[in-house]
Amino acid sequence: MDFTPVLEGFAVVFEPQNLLFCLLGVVVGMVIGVLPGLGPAATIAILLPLTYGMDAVPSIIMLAGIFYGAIYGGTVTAVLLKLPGETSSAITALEGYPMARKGEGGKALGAGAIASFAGGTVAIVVLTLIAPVIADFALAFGPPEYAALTLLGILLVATISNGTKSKAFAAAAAGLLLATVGRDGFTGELRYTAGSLELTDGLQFVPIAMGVFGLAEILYGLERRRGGGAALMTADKILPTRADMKRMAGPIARGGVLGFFLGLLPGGGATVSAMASYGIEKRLNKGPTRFGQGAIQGVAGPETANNAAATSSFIPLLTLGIPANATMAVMFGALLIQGITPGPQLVATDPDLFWGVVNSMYIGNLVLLVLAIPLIGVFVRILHVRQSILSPIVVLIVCIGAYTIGNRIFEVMVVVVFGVLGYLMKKNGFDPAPLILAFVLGSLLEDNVRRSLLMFGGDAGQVAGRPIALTLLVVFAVVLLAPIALRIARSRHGGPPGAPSAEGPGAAATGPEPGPGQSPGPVESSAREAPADGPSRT
Amino acid sequence: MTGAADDTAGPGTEAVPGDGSDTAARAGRVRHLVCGAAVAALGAGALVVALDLGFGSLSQPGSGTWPSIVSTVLVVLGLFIMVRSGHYADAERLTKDGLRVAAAVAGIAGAAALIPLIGFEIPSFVLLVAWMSALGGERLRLSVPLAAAAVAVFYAVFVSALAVPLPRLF
Repeated sequence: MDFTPVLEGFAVVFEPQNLLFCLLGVVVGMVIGVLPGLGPAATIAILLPLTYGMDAVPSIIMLAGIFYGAIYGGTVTAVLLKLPGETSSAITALEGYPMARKGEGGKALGAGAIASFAGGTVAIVVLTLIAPVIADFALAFGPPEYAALTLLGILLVATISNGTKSKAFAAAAAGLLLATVGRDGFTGELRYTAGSLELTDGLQFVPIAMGVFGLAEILYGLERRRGGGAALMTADKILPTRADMKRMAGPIARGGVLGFFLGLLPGGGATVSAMASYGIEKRLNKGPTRFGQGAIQGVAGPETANNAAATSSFIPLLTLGIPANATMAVMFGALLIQGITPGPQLVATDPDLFWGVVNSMYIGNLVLLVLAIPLIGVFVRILHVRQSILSPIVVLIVCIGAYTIGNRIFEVMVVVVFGVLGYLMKKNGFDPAPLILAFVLGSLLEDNVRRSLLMFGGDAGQVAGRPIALTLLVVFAVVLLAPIALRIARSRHGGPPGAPSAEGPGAAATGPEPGPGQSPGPVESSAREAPADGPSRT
Repeated sequence: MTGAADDTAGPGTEAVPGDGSDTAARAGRVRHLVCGAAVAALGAGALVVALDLGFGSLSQPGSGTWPSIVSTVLVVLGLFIMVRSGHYADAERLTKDGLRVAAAVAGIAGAAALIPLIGFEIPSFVLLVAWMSALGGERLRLSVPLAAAAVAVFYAVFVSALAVPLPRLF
């Protein structure tokens, strides 16, 4: 592998101006990310307009900063308020919050920052080495392979999503339908525009993401007034001691490896890997360690794992052009705005940009580590500000941001409409993540299905002659049908139909480690301790 | 956990710290019936338009081919949700607090509609004060200066620094 472009990429990202943008990105990412109700996808969607007017390189560097800052913002609320940024940080709350209650909040946040840095960095190094190889392999993909891969990606995200599967599939199908609005790229005909000029070019991704993730969460939080939840803990700027570091080394190493591999899976990589890491550490640390009462290993392992997974989920995005989860879908939209189309060609045709994106992650991660501890006091102060004051200000940021997309009010109205839709979905048990992901991938899927049908002359059976596409479709069928078959088999044998092991591919995909729904430790104990008011976050 | 819905639930259904979903009052079967009907109706409406666009054929797919397929899937899923409506327990009951959400949405939409006419400053200020005080219960002596300061900061950042062409009064 030729490392010259990698090193040249570093020269660019280390320019003082770019470092400054990264710093700014991490800070605003953390500041918005610590607001209750807003997870990484929402934070990035809300802050996207900040990068519009910038050149590609500084803007992607700032985005990397926002990405890591937003993830860490979730860790901060998990530790200090027991209110996780996303499901993956929920595991951090299990040990982090008890640590904060003992007055070790600073140590927990420090451990989280170090672990996140380690996990993220390991994943970026491996990404640097293997992404070009995967991209090279994916160059041979034709329309059938892409169609099958996209279909599988959407299915996996819907399968591993929060909530009921049939509703997740319905959300995904609605996302695919929304993607068809506008002019048909093949025939030029208008579809579902209802005569609206604004809809001729189709719906844009950013206002939809801002509405469904950002505004919807704020509306949802508005309905649930605070009170009766976990008390806000304070944190001192105390770093983990050398003895703590020794205790953290093993969990970090194990969490990094686990997170990297599980992060490659679409859907719940970060959550599954954090759960698996917690399960392993709990099992390995029997005896005097105080799991459940604030064990630093229980913060370090899962934080490393979920950050490694969050980073390795960039691999399918950058090498195949397929986002693996909602946060990656937002990053996908952000890169498209900068004129960067992630996919197998990117590394060959535009190595500067490709390595710019990858190297900016190193910087984002590093800046996060440097800033996390000094800013603890700021986070605590932000968490003290009441929602009744913060929410309308964030709403205004969202509205002005939406306006800047096209310098017209239409996008603001799109945000409002999708904010209401996202709120109603949340109230009725529909996870919005599959809708967003399917919307992003919708036109890619339709184009490739149509091209495949044209290639095969309408004979779908010809896919049998394309081993990669066929394998992907077989996996698709297994993922779709295996849970149903398992349930039928179980009910015939008189077992409980709702047994967690029947939950399908998510469980199967995690291998021997505790999969989603199989992890009795962290999740069940968290269910008992859940605060009364906390909105779940995206 | 959500009881009867577990059989089809993914991993995220389990309550997590901060999720809060375990404590919210659950909506009944009618709501799920309505949800299913809404999904099916969306699919049916889209299917009619898609067929109108022309289904084409598998060897020559037309503009309506893909939307027809997706709409059909939506109809099937909507009907499935209706049939299984008694098995779900993952919708939250609507409460009086939902009115606050409706008021907030009306406020945002109203402010957005006014911005092109009278600039962003006054609608933003009024929205902030109304949200903080009427919806959030903050005192006016706190919300008014805060809202004014927020609008000033937005003006400085978006109009002066980033040169965003926001419609403005000043």
